[in-house]
Amino acid sequence: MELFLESTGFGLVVASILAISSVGFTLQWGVGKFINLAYVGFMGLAAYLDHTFSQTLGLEFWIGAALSILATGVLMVLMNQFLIQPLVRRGVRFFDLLVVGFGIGLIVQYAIQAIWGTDFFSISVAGTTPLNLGGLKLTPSQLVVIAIAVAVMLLLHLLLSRTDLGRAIRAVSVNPTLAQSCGVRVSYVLNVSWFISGIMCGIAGLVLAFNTAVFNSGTAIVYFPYILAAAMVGGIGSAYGAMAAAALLGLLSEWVALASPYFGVMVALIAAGLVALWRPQGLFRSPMAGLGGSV
Amino acid sequence: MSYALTLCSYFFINLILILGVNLQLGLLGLPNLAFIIFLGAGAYTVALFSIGPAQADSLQHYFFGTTLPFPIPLILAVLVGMLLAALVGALLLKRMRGHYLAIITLILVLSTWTVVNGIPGFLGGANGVYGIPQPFHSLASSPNAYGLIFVVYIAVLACLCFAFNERLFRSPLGRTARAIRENENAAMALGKDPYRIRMIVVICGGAMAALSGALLAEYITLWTPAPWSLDEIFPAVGAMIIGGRGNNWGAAAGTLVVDIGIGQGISFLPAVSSDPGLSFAVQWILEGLVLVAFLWFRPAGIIPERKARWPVPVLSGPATISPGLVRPEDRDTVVRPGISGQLTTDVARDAILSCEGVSVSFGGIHAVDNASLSVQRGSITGLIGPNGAGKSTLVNVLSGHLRSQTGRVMFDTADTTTLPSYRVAQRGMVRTFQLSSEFPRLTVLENMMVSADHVGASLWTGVFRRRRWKDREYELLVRARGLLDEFGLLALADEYAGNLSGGQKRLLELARALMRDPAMLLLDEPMAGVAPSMVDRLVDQILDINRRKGVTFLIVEHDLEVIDRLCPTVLVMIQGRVMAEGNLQQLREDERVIEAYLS
Repeated sequence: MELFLESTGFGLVVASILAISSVGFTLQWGVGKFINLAYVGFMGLAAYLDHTFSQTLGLEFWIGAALSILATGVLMVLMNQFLIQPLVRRGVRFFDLLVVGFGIGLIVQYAIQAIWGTDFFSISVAGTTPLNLGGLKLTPSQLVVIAIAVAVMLLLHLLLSRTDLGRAIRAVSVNPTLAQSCGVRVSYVLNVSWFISGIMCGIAGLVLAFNTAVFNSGTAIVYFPYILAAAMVGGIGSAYGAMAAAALLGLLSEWVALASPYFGVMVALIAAGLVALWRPQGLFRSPMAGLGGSV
Repeated sequence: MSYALTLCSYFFINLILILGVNLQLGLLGLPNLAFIIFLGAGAYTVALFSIGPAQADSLQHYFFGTTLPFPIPLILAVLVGMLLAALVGALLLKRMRGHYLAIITLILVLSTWTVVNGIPGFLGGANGVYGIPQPFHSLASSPNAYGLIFVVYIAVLACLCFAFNERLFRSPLGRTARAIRENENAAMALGKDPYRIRMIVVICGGAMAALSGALLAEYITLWTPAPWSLDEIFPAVGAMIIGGRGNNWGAAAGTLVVDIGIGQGISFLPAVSSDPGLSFAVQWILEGLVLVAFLWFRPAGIIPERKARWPVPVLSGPATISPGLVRPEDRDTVVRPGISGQLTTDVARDAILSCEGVSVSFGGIHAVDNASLSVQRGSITGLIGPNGAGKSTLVNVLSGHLRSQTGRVMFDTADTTTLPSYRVAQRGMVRTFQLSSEFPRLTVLENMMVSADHVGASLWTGVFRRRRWKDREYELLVRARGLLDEFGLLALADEYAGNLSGGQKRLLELARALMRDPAMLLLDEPMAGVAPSMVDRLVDQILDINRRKGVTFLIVEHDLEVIDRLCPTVLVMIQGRVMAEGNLQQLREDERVIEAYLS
């Protein structure tokens, strides 16, 4: 029982990290129609930038964090504006774009290795003495991670449902051509959603580093199967689906990891495979919602 | 010397893999990333069948092991690759396309890799297996001499794979595969079974990937999860894109650039070569940059896909269509104008196509609602109706592209209700589509050649017995050129079909359908997007085909003037049902029709 509660605590933390990262990932897939295999590479990059800003350059903690998150968002926009969109205009199609994303991911991953070496580091954000919360043992830094995830999800929900920008993003994700002819500036909306994705990616990289004792260039890569699985299970392009799938997979994978550590990732992958085969629109959507439909 | 031999070995081993990738991704356009699993499986198979049983005192653990003499482990490796490819194909190819196929094969790679890497006792886990024996060792007197023998051995295998690919690409089977890549629905409407072709190609690709893996394991004498990890997908696919997809010489050029050019070129950069970690990183970064540069400046690759060309047949005269085209029973058919003002549900005796009580609904919307019709053999029948009446959906049901939820469809005295579209097409009903559906990256002549059934469209005959299909090829060539001449497209025979004008594409589609000698043609808005001057030409062509060849037509069209010129009998569809039948004059006075068009 104690073990179960402990893994439930871990599961909540993993679910939080997964929610932030997979929502950003699925947003790019749904709105930009681009499967960004470089996503986890940028997550790692955000953590290394923060490490450099706050520990090497000695900036204030929150300033360093904000700068690295912003930098990730800007890099994503640059990638969209100067690489992906020009390639799309040149008639490069989906599979080649997938390979381009793959290549960018490898470039980022190995650039990190080339610049920072294979050394590891840690970012401490709050205490590491576990607190007992009704049986769940969580450290203050883990509580910070969960709080950030909840805050980010709330903000995203407000953005998508209450603002004109959110409506525009949803319109572009359903039908870019129609949105264009209704007066939505599609290229602008695409850049904005890539920026939001980049911000989420940066935050995800940071909270991952908060929760990892030894962060190195491979840490974020380990998350790739989980992020992919959460996006598939939640339904491609569905932000709310990805949140729910992240919670589900985070808890589930930590529970089965009690038996063997690599069961966790297997459960996520099997869930993704089953959903792709039998319910490709995602676990939480009706079949008529179509693919890459409503955010 | 030994450095050159090492380079050669890697080149040939990688070339075999890239050739396999080129089959699936280049020829067929199938984003199957699972090939890296087949590579790993081939290597493990060769290891398990040649390293002998695991020793209790040895450091490595694996679950099986035996020592078989040289060619057997290699052959088993190829068979295992084919078996896995067949399994993956059977599981995925029927229901998956595009994004989903790419992502689910990616998930498959991640899962397999995690299992093999995570269970130490299964295939050696993360440590892998080592001590894999190399073939022909007894022949060599020194390591250098052995290196040479090994290079010759893999070069021979690589050349065999290359020759196989070349023959497959140029065979009628390869042509069909490219047609499926370009437009799957149109290929099905011409009687091609895409699933069968995909399976054949994926299994061949799996065999080559497994062979490449087996040879790599023999060459480096150990096998771990690293050489078949997710990252290794990138250089393989990258080499194919850079070299030129769909071209085997391109595959060789891509292998040369990515594996030898970039991989070895690094070691000549003094600043990088001293640090192994850095040179590895720079190699990956360069590969990524070169790929992006190619997609940007030369997306077709170094050596793009070849245009198929045929020599002009000596005896090609204008309109040399064999008299056999006209079926004896159709020859005397006179076009009978339909006169009945109301629809009879019982199937008329000389109906070629009929359906009864057909319904299709999407969600809660009844697109086709209990519709029945029959088309007289040898007639030109029109199908009209307001927008959203369900005409295209009904056509899709008749051609087998959609399955009706109720009722039945009869074509040529057979029940075709549950047949897939390619089977309906094989029975002699060919359809065209609302959007023009030429195969854009095939030439006009290839569009024609791919249409008819061909003895060379099977793997064995197509690749290994060229003499058996050469005659058929020649016969089709003569017919295709004759038809193109008749349709005024002969001058464009070697042009890519995607470059034709809208009207020319329509003509080509009609000519292409005739290559199959159809008993019936189903045309879905054949005049959409066609210039007015071309409309006359198409109308004449349709009347001529009907008169001379006895082909039955069912034509969906909005242009009532065209309908008036073509169709003595017209069916009217309103809200998912066929409500009226008659000639256009009668229908203009029918109240229900007037109401439906005005409301």
